[in-house]
This record gives sequence, structure tokens and C-alpha cells, in this order.
Amino acid sequence: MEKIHKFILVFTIFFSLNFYANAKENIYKLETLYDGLDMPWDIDFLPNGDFLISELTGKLKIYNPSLKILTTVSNLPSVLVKSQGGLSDIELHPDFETNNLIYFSYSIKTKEGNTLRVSRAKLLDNTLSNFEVIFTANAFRKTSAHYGARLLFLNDNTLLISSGDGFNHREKAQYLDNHFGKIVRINDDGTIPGNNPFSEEDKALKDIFTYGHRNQQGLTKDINGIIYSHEHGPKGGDELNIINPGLNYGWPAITYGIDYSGSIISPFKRKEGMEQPIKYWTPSIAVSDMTFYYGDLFPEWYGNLFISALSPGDVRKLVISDNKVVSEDIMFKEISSRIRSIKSSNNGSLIILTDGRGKKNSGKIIRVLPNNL
Amino acid sequence: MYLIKLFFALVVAFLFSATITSIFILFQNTIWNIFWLKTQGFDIAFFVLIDSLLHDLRGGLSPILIQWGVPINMYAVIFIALFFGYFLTAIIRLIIPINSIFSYGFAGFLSVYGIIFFTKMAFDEIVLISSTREPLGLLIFCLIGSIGGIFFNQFKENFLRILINGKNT
Repeated sequence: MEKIHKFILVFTIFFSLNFYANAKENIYKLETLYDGLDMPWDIDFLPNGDFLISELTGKLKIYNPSLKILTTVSNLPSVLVKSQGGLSDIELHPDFETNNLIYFSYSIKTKEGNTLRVSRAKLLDNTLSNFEVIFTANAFRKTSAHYGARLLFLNDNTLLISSGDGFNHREKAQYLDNHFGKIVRINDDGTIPGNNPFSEEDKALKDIFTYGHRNQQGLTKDINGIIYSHEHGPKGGDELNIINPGLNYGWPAITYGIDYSGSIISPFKRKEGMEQPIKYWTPSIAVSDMTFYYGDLFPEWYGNLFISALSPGDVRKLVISDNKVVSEDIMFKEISSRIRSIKSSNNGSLIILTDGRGKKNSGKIIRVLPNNL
Repeated sequence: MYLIKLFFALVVAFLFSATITSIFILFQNTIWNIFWLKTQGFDIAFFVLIDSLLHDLRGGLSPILIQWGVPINMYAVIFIALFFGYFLTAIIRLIIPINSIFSYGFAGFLSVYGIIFFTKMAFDEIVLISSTREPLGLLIFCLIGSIGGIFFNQFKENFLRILINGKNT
């Protein structure tokens, strides 16, 4: 009889723990809203609840989640669509509701080579008008790789732009006379703020905010205005950094990765005067975007940083405290696809884009909702 | 019997010269990267240099691309390029008797240049061997290929002489 009691006790504990583990895992559900995007790159949310989506292949689309209708925005500038180049980030002006301005980054081909460009235009009735080029990176190259291309408005309405190292030009990330491997800060009209960190230096480009980056495809800020950037490492060494003006983030002089050929890029991982990442990944997970979660649908995720990854294709949920990463959870592995973007929507759900590379029109919009909704 | 000895001499000469060429290429890349770090104010201790060279010799074994499901590393890429270069040169020399040192030296030069040319084509202008992104680095890289080709020629003739005469004369 005692044995039966013990068995029942063990059985009950085992299933309770199992139930608890499952309950913990299943606080969310994934809902595919749309399947058929052509290499989506970024998503932003219009005040009316519609999604604004950029496709690397040069199209801007608006998705209405209630009617499940996708509309193409007309009047976009021509874009160099090649390899990693194309239409990239989109960002609404902080005063979008009054000025209807959207900002977008894309690659262009010029006589001097390919480079990154940022423009703004008014979005009215699914059409762009009053188009203005506000930034062209002094980072001309033959390759169509490592553009960076992420945009972020700061609380003072200045705009940060990440400009990648162009792959073949990595050493230039350490010099201030170009935009390879830089984060740039400009005003919303393209002019350069007078208080940029290198505005007094003779040989420096005055719009440079930070330098020593590789291919920064994540740029966000937390509720206190602290800026975070992540960048792809080479073979290993993807980094998450806290961005402060005027600092050198080390690439390629210090790195946690090695070259694709297997050789050393630098035997050094730290140096005085060069910033350390608050987190790095070796092997690389191919960080692609990130967002802080401050919605109310998932109170347990409040203030966590969600980082999307292309390889193997998941999301990393980081808890950050005192500028340090205190825990990392791997989320949404069940999507099992390259995750190109993650954003926190206006209604508190997380929205994920998969890029569907390798199969045309197979990118998805996936919504993360609480399981009990 | 002569053909077997010739074949054996060619194989050994190729393995020797291609290995030396690969090591020189990897070392050139390492030293190029280290030299740039020196210009950035890094203090490069002797052991750091040796450690980096040894790392890159091992690193050459890691796959840089997967072709038809087969991982291909740096050594394999160099060996394949040199093999085709020397093979083509041997055929041309059967038709046109060009000086062997010059022809294999030139073949080595072109073969390693071919590595850069074809990887650029395959990877949209991306250059995987970082030292060859600068013209001087590319020239040194190709000259190493050229020296490898001359080594191949010398090894081949010496090995053949040893095999036929039984001693190195």
C-alpha cells in the first residue's frame, strides 16, 4: 500500500512539473497573418493599426490586419536590388500623425559605386510624395554587402543611421573620413546637428556618431532612451552594444570572430579606448533586428529585449539590468525559418517577419499573442 | 616504368609545392592583418605573431564554402586551383615548348589569381582573402603563387632525376 502511495506521489509531482513547464512555454501563440511577402526587411506600424512593410526587392507595402489586405505603395524611388542591397528600413517620423513623413533606407548604384541612401517622403493614400534625399553614405563600394541600413529616431527627433563596412572595406571602419562601419546622426531634414561628437575634428565627417562597426542591422532604444545596436560578426562574434556618442566599437581591430577563410582578423579581443559588447555570440546567430517590449499583453516580458536571428532562425529574449545581460532565452524556434525582423506593435503584440529567402514570395507576417486570447 | 616514375615524381612535387604555396599564402594573410594592427597602435609580441600564424594554419582547414554538399577548405581551394593551372600548362608545353621555370611560375601566378577572380564572381565582388583586397596584397599573393609554380618545376625535375638515376645529381 505504501508503495502505491509513493508511486502516486511521484506520478503527481512528475506531471505537475511537466504541466508547469508546458504552461510556462505556452504563454503565447503564433498566428500567421500573411504568407507571400517577397523578402520583407522591416515593419513599422501606422497610427490606424495598419502595418507598413518594406521588401528588399524594392517594394513598400501596407497590410491591413483586420481585412487581411496587402496594398503596394506607389512612387517609390528606384533601388539597387542586388545581394544584400535593396529597400531596407522604414521609420515613421515621431510626428507622423501631423506631417505624414516616412523615412526609408535603400541601396543605390552610382558612378563611384554602390552605397546606402536615406530619403523621406509623405505617405498619403498609399502614395509617396514630396520625396527628398536626406543622406547618402560616403561608403562607395563594388560589393552589394554590409549596408547596415537601420534607422532610429532619438528622443530629440534626430535620426540615427547605421552604415555597414561594405565587407571589403573593414579597415575603413576605424577612420573618420568615411561612412564605412559608422553610426551617423542627422537632423530629420538631413542637416547635421551641431552637437555631434566629431563636429570639431578637422578630418572627420561631422555626422559620425560612433565608429568601429561591422554590419549593424539592429538599432533601438529602451524606455530611458539608452541606445542599443547589434551587428553581425564574421565567423562568430555577433555583438550587442550600448551606443554612446563618440565611442569606438573596435571593429576590425578587436573582435570575437574570425574571418570566413578561417584566419585571424585580429588576435585581440579588447583594447583601451575601444568598447566591449554587453553580449556576443560565437558561433554567430546572424542578428537581424531587435525591439524592447513595453506592451501589456505579456507583463512577464515587460522591459525585455527581443533580438531576431537569421541562423538558425529564432528570437533571443534578453533580460538586461544595469547595462548587463543577465539572462537569455531562445524563443519561437518552432517558426524554423530565417527571422528578418521583430517589432513590438501598438496593441502590445509582437510582430515577426520571416524573409523566406530561397523561395520567392514566401515571407510571412507572424503575430505573437497570449495563448488565452 | 618511366611513366610510373614520372607520375610519382609529379604527384610528390605537386603535394610538396602546393603545401608550401598554401602555407605561404596563409602566412601572408596573417602578416598582412598583423601589420595593419601594428599601424593602429597594437603592440604585437613575438608569441602573438607565432600564435596567429599557427591559428591560421589550422584555420585553413575550416570549410569556407559547401559545394555539392562537400565542405571545401582553403587548402583544398588552393590545391584545386594549382592542379588545374599546372595541368593546363603541361598540356600547353606539349604543343609549345616554353621554358619550364617561366611557364610553371606563370601558371602559379594565374592560378592563385583565379582563386580571387572566381570567388569575386561567385560572391558578388566579396574577396574572402582579406590581404588581397589591396593591390599590393594581391600582387604579393600572386607572386607567392608564382614562386609555388617554380618550386613545383624544380621539385618535379629533381624527384624525377632521383628516381631515374637513384641519386640527386
